[in-house]
Amino acid sequence: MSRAATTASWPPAPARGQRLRLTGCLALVALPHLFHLPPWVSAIAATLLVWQAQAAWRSRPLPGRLIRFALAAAALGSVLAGFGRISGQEAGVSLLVMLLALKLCEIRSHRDAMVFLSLTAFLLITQFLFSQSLAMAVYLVIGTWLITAAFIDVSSEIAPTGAFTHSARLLLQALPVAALLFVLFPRVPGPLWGLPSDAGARATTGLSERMSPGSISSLATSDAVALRVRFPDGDMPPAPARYWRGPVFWDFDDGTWRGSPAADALPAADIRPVADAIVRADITLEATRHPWLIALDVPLGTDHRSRMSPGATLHAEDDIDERIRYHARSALAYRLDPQLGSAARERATRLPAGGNPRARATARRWRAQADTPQGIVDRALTHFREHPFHYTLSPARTGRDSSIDDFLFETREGFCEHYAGAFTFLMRAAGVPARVVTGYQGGERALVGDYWVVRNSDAHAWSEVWLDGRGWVRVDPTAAVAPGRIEAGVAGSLSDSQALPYMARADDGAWYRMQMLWDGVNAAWNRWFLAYGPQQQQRLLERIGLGGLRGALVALTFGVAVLLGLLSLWLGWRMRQRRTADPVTRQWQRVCDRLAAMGYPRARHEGPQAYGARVARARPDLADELGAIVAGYIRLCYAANPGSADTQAFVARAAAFDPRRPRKPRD
Amino acid sequence: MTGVFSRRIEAAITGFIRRRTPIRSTPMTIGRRRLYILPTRSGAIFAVLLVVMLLGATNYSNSLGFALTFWLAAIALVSMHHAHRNLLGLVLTRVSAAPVFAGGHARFTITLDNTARRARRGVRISAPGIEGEDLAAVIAPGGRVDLQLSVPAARRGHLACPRLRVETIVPLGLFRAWSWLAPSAQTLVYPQPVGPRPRPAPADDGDAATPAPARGNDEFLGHRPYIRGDSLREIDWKASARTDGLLVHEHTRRSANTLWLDYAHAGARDPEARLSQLARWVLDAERDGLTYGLRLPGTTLTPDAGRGHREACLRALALL
Repeated sequence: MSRAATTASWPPAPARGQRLRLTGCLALVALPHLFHLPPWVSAIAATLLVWQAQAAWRSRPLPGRLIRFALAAAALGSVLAGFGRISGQEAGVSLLVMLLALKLCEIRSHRDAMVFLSLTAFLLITQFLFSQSLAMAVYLVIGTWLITAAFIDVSSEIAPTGAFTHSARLLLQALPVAALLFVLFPRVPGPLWGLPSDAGARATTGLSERMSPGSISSLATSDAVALRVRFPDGDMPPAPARYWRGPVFWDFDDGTWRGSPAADALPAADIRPVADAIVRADITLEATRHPWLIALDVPLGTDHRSRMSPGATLHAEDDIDERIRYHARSALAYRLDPQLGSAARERATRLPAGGNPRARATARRWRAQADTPQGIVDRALTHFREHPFHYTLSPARTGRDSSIDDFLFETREGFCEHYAGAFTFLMRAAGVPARVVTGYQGGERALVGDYWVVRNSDAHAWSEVWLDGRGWVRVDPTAAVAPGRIEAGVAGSLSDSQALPYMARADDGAWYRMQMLWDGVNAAWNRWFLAYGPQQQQRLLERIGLGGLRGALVALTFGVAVLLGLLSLWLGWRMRQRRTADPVTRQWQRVCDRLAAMGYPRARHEGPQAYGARVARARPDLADELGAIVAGYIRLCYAANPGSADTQAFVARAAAFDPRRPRKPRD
Repeated sequence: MTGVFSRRIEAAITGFIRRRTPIRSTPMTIGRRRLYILPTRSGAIFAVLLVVMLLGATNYSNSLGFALTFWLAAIALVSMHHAHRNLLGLVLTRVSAAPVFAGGHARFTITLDNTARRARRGVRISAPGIEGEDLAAVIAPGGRVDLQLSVPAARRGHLACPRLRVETIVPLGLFRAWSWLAPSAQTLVYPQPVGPRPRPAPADDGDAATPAPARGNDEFLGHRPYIRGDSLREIDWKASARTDGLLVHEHTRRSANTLWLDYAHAGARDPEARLSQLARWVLDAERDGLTYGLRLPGTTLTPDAGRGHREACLRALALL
């Protein structure tokens, strides 16, 4: 009487309806992935799902081991072939989607279904690596509801509709606990390991580390929000001062501006702010995959770890791979680098050996005519103002080696990068130290909430020239051509405003207002939910007087986690032991399973003898063999000391038992 | 080393549970003190995935990831509470089983009462070492179910109801709540009715002259008027009410010959084999409509017939 009761048949394996519902659950959870995974992955996954739904509908048996193995290998192979690897976000998620669809083919037991559902929950979380918008929050709720309902469906003896209501109740009851965990569970600053190189691959529009004709005008067509700003002490500075400083370019070659010198090549910028012109801003920056911390020109510092570059740009230690929030201080009036070192001066006047001869000649002429560098600057701005220059998003093409000449003297159409690039070139040719600054210009007040929005369409480029006694001075040649650009945004200065995205147009129709309203909701979502991390947690705990508790919370949480981990390891190890301990029970279970597959499942309360007798009545051809097995099983179960020979004989007999091919009765 | 250690712990746990599962008479209620709960293996796998999700959310500083992870964890915790509540307060009202012959299975009927105002689902009953189980898919509020458990009856005598394991994994299958119940119920196991010897012939001795008093189980023939000396129990009051006089039942007359089934003449040396032989004879004699008596060491059952007598004989054989 010492044999453990067999529990392999309980809880029961998913039935036909449950198999169908599991398939549906996976299909719905995987649905949003279809929008960003390569089409071939979506096609394979959809095919597998339809196949499995059909198999479940027609109650077809699960495919054999060989087919499943081949399909899994094919999935792995296709991901390797398609992505060249199986790690990384896109490849990993593709593999997970396909393997989950394949897992449907081998759900034979309750535990299989449970593992499948746990992995489906994991698939849910991978979606958030691609987007964390409000729509994704809705998806989270629906997905959690579906998965919980599916857990109930396979584990509780309940009708599917009941599973849905029960699941909804469970979700609501869990909500307060979840909220408490979200706020109080000790957060550790990430990342814990490296982010895959394609992390946040969707967020790569924004300022670039080089500037060539077309690079900023391509941004002008994007409505996406670049940053949101709140001014804790006052309001946004007036329009002419709304310059947001980004990367600075020192080197010109092949028609492209690039190269921010490293801190060891040139000293960091020396900024002397005018005392009463300092503005504090609370900035939420979207992911850029670049290290620049955008701030009003000229930035002084942030509460985020950063350093000042020689070009007076704030650099974070790492690339901004996620939306971050920081406080930045800026000086609207300042003196930047009152003394210019010889290395910096050399770099700020360097030009390629050849190319653009007309521009060089013009610059030399201006230099000869003007008495001071300021005079040269004025002369150049006058040139832009007096000649028929057009500010347009779709300028005529220019040659690569003669881009400046073509723009200045032939086409005379361009966007801010053309003007800033050409102006800086002219200054250098005239011997005035100059550099290109990129960033944003402008911003609009949000309809809801006390903050401002700066969009990608506000991206801008301008110049800085170094003047003796004043340091680096901002000169915006675009303003000379299209003054409206600075006062009213891109739409105020373009003749072809239809090419602009809707949000950048000067128009305040109902649609525009709705969009701004929506942006307000999104901003609150970002500010209160998505930005919640270790720092916010610490601040919150301090505010409610539990600042010192965080350390204790962390220690407690990890202590308990380690303890639970050790305990579950031990339990798991013990369960394994028990499972392999009893070949007799396992073989008997196998016999029962095989008979159940033939349509003779054992009733829950049926003992082996009653069961054997019932099957034997229905299938006299099996009677002899089955009778021997049942007798052997009962003898082994209830014998005081079953001999090992008996056990072996039983195991061999039971293992050979195949109800589909009964042995010929011996006569 | 660890083997010894874990075996000791396991023994300690088993002993602990046994001490806390005293044998009690029904009805018994599943209380907090005897209700245990642990994650299932699927629950452990789910927990590991939650940890992975937590690490992932931390690595990517993904707020929605945190939200999902914590929400799922909270749902699992709430489901633990549900599983606990699903068994808490469940009443084991009655356990009974009809007597069986050795070698067969005693079918214990376990009656569960749900006195709560909520339905209970997926309540399973099993017993360690016993193959077979039964499941109550749902017990309505205030409702009752009968579950069956077949317990092998190996030896004659009393068969106690085994220690019962009442368990549930409802609602999510992540946690298993269970309780041990040891109801004092028992049933009788008669000796297995087998034996090589043919039933002895009824002896036509003096005793047989006195006809056996007829009993209710004999075949009913009709009514006849009451005559002095008839047992009061034979009177059919209902039928009598419709006539002037009293009526009594009249039954078939049994065979006048009495069969004595004697332990001393039951063949084999092995007392168990003898009892089996006697049980076989009792069944045969009853089947053949004989009047039979049973002589056992220390007990004698006077000759009689009928179902009640048969049970009395078998009972005597079971408990000898």
